[in-house]
Amino acid sequence: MAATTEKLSSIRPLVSEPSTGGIHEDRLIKRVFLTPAVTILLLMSIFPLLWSLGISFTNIEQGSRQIVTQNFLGLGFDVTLRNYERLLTDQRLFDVARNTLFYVIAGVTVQYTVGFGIALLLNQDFPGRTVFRVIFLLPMMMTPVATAYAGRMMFDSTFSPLAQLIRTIGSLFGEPRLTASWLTQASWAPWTIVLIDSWQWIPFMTLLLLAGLQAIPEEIYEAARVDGATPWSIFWHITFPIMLPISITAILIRSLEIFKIIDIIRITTGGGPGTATESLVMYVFNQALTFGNYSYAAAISYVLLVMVVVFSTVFLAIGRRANKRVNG
Amino acid sequence: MKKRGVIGTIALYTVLIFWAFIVLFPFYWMFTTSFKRPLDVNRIPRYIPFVDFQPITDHWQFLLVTQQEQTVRQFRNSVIAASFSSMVVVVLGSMAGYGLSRFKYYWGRLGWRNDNIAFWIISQRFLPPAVLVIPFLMIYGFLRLVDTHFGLILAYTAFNIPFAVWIMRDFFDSLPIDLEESARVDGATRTQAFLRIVIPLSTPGFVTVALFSFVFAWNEYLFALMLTNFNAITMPVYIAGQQSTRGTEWWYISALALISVAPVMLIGLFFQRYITRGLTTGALRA
Amino acid sequence: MNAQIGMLPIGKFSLIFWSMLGVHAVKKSFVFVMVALIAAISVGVSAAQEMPFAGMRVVVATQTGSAIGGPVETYRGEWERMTGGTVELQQFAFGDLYQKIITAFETGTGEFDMIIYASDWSGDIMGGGYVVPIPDDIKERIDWEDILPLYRERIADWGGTTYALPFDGDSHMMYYRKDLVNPNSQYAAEFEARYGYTLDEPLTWSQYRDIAEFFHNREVETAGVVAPINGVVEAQRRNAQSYWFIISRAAGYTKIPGDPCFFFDCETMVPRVNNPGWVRALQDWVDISAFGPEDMINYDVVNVRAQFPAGNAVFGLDWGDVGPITVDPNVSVVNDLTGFGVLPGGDQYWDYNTNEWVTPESGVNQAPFIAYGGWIISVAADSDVIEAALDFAAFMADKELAAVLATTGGTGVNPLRQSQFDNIDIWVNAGFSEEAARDYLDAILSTINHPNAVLDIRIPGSAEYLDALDVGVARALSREVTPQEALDGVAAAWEQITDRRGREAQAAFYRASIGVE
Repeated sequence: MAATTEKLSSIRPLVSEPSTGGIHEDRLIKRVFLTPAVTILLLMSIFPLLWSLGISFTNIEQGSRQIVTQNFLGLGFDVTLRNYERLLTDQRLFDVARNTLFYVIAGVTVQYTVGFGIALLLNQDFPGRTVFRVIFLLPMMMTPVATAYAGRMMFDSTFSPLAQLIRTIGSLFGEPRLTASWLTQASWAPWTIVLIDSWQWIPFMTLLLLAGLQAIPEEIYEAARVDGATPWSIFWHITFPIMLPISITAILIRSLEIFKIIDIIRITTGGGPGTATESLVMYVFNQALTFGNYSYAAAISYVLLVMVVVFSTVFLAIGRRANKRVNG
Repeated sequence: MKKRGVIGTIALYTVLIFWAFIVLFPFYWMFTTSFKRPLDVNRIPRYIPFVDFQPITDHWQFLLVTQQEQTVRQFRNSVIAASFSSMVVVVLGSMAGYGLSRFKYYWGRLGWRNDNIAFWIISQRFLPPAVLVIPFLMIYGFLRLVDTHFGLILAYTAFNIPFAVWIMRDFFDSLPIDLEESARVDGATRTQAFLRIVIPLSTPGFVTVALFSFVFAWNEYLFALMLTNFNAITMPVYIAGQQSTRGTEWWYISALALISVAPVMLIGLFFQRYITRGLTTGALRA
Repeated sequence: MNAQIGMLPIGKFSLIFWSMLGVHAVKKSFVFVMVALIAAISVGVSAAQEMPFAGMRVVVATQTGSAIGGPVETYRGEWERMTGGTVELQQFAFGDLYQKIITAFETGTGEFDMIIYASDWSGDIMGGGYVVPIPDDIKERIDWEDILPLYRERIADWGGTTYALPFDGDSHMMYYRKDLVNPNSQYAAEFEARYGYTLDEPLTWSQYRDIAEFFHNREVETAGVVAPINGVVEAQRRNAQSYWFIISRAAGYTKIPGDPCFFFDCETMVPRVNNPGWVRALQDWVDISAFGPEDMINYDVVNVRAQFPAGNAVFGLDWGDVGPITVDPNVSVVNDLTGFGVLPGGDQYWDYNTNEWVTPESGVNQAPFIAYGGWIISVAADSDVIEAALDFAAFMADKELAAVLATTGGTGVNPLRQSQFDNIDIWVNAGFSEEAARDYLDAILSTINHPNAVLDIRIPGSAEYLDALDVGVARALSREVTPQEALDGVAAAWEQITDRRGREAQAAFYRASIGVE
C-alpha cells in the first residue's frame, strides 16, 4: 500500500511554499488576491454580527418601535443577561435541538451512505452512464420550496400514489383502509422529512464523491487485483481511505446545511404533529420574525454559533487525525 | 475495469433504474399535475394523461399568458440575481482561493494563518439566516437597497463566497505548482503566470463553483422573501405564493417548479462534463 | 377565512377562469356605476381637483391569490383614472404576510403605503402605532353607519380610535346536513330512541357530538349515492387554523355572559386557559376525532371546504366560506341540503369567580367566537402619500363595491354591512335559493350581533400566545398529553410571555382590545 499513498500525496499537495523572489511584488499581489473576498464578507457580515451580538444582551422585542433609530446596537436599553438565562430553561428549545440533531445524524447518514453507493455505481463503466449521471443530479436543481411541495404530494395519506399503493397492499390482506401516516404521526414525520431532504441532497453527495472516485488512478486498482485482493478489501483498504478527506468535507457541508433546515418543514408539517418536527432554525425564525423576540432569537443564534464552531473544529480535527492514521 | 457477469449487469441496471424511478417520479408527478383539473388532483391519484384523466392546459395558459407579466418578471429576476452573483463569486472566490493556496498569510493582530482565515471564511455560513435577516433589512433600508437587483446580488455574493473559496483553494492545491514556476523561470511575473497558466487550466473549477453558486442563489427563499417586495422577487417566492388561503394550488406550484428547474437543468447538462472533471482535479480536501 | 369559492372547481372551466369570468362580468357593471358616479361628481368639481393625486404612487401589500388581493388588481384602474395616482399591488403568501409587514414597519424600510391585513394582527400593527387614524370624512364617504357595529366599533378600533376600514366580515359558523338532521328525518325516531331527545340542529356541543356519533360511518343517501358518511369534518392541523376552532369550542364553556374578559383576567392577566371549561372543550375536541375522517389531524379549513360540499360529512365547521361553495354545482352535491347555524354552545359554563359549573336557564350558553375578524385596510404612518392611500382605501371599502364583492366567488370578501343582509336579491342572484340565503345570512348575523360574542386575542404578542395554544392543542390531539396537561402547559407559557412583555402593559393592552376601562 505504500506506493498508493505516495501516489496520492502527489495528487494532493499540501499548501505550497511561496516561491522565492519578488518579495515586494508578492506582498502586494497576495493582498490583491485575498482582500476583495474578505472585504465583501466583512462588509456584509460585520454589522449583522455585531448588531445581533449587541441586541442579544438587551430586551428589545417587537413593539419596541423603530429598532433602527432608537435601539441601534442596544443603546438606550439596559444590558441584561436574561435572554441567555432564558435559553437555559427553555424546554422547547431543547426539544427542537433534539429534533435538529436527529435530522443532522439521520440525514447525513442516509445521504452519505446512499450517495456513496450511487457514486460507486456511476463510477463503473457501462453504456448510458452519462444519462444516469444527469438524471441523478436533477433533484438538487429544484428549489427546496418546490421539493417540499412535491414531498407533500408524494406523502399525502389520502391523495398520493403512495397512499393508493398502501391501500392496494392493504386490501390484499383484507385491510382496504390501511393508511400510512407519513406526515401526520409524531413518530413517522421526522423520518419522512429526512426522506424528502435526502431525495434532494443525495445528488450533492454523489457528485462530490463521484469526483473523488474518479480521481483515483486506475493503476492502483490494477496493482491490488494483481496482488489478489477481493473487491471488499479493495474498497476497504484503497477506496475508502482515499475517499476519506473528501467525505469529511462533504459530511461537514451537509451537516451545516441540514442544521439550518427550515423550508421543507415549514411547508410539509409546519412543525407538527405536536412539536415533533420543529427544527432549531424554524424556532429561531418564529422567535425573530413571528413573535418579534429579536433579542432572544439573537441570543439563541449566538449560542448556536459557538456550538457549531466547536463542532466543526472538533470534526475537522478528528477528520485530519483519521486521515493521518489511514493514509499515513 | 473488471468485466461484469450477466447477473452483475442485470443487478446494476436494476438498481440504476430503480433509483432513476425514485428520482424522476416526483418530476413526472409534477408534470402531470400541471395538466390536471383540480378535482383530478384532490381525489384519488391519476397517473397517465388521456388514459385516466383528461389533461388541460389552463394552468400553463394562466401562468404564461394571463400572468405573463409576473411570471416573466420573476423568472428574469431570478436569472439576474443568480447569474450576476455567481459571476462575482467565481472571480472573487477563485482569487481568494488561489491566494490561500499559493501564499502564506499571517494576520499578526489575530495570530491567524491560512487555515484560520479559511475557517473564518466558512464560518460565515454558520449563523441561522433568520437572525441575519433583520440587520440586513436595516442596512438595506438605509442604503435603499430593498427590492433591488443589486441588493440581492450583493447578498448572494456574500453567501456563496465562502463555499467558492473552499472549493477553489482545494482545486488550486491540486494544480501542480511546477507549471507556474517554469513560466516564471521564463521571465513571466506572478500575475502573468496566473493569467496565462493558471486561469486556462482552471476552467473546470470555475464551472463547478459557478454552477453551485448559481443553484444556491437560484433556489434561495428566505432572503429573497424578506429583501424583495415587487421589482426583484424571485421564483421561489413566487412558487411559495401559490399557497393562498384558498388552498394549495398544486397545479401552479408544479408548473412553476418545472419552469424554474429548466434553466438550471440546461446549464447543468451543458457543463456536466466540466463539473466532474473540475471536481476530479480539484478533489475537495478537509 | 375568505375564499368564497372552494379549491375544487369541476366542469369545463378551471377555478381561475371561472372566477375571472365572474369578476370580469362584475367589472363591466362596476365600470358603469363608476362612470355614472364620475359624471355626477365632475359636474360640481373644478377641473383642477379632478386629478388630486397625479404622480403619486400608492404601494399596497396583501396576500397572494385572487382572494382579497384580486379586487385591488381588478379595480385599481378605475381609481387611477379618477385621481391620477397609481397603485402598485405587492402580494405575499399568507404565511409570510405578517412577517413581511411587521418587519418592514419595525426596521423602517417600509415601502408599504396601504396594507390589507388580518384584523387579529391589530395589536401589533395598530398598537405599535404604525398606521394612521381614519379621518371622519373618509368614514362618511363609505357610509360608516352601514357597517355592522362589531366591525366598525370593535374590529377597526384600538383604544377608542379607528385605525382601519373593514374590508371583509368573518366569523365561524356551523354547516350541517339539513336533510339528515331535522325532526322529520327518517333517522329521527331511531335517534330519539337512543339519545332521548329530538333530532334537530344542535344547540350544544354535546348534542353535536351525539349526532356525529349517530351518523358516523352510517350508510346514507347523498345526491343519489348511498355511502358511509363521516360525522364531522373539522380543521385540526397544526400551524393552520386549529387554535381558532378550540377557542370557538371553549367560548361556550367558559365565556361568562356579561363579562368581556375571556382569555385573561383583565386586571392580573392570569390566563384563563386551563380551567375546567377549557379542559372540557379540548377533551370534546379530542373525542370528536373518532367521528371524522382518518386524516383529520392533518386537515385545515381547505379540506373542510372540499369535503363538506362533496357530501362527505354531516357537520362542517368553517368561516362563511363554505356557504357560497355549497351553491356551486361544480363542486357541491349538497345545494339545498345544507343548513347553516350559529356554532353550538356549552350546556353549562365554568364560572371562574365561584369556581363552579353554572347551568344557564335556557339550557345553553352560546358565545360565538369572532375568529379572525376579517381583513381590514389601514394606511401606514410612515407613508409619504397618506392622503392618496386613504383615498384609495376608501375606494376599496366602498359600499357599492362591498356588495358586489361579497356575492362574487373568489374575491374572499364576506358580508359585513347591514345593507348586504337586508338585500336578499344579491344573494339569490348569486345562486342561493331564497330560503338558503336567509338561513345563511341569519346564521352570520346572529353570530356577529350576539351580545356574548368573543373577539380574537388582539394584543401585542398575539402570534406568540396563539402559537403556544396551537402547540398545546396539537399535543393533546396527537394524544401526547392529556387536555389538562396540555392546557396547563399553555397557561404556563402564556404567563411567561406576559411576564416578559410586562404584565401591566399587557393588561392595559388587553383591556383596550376588548373595550374595557
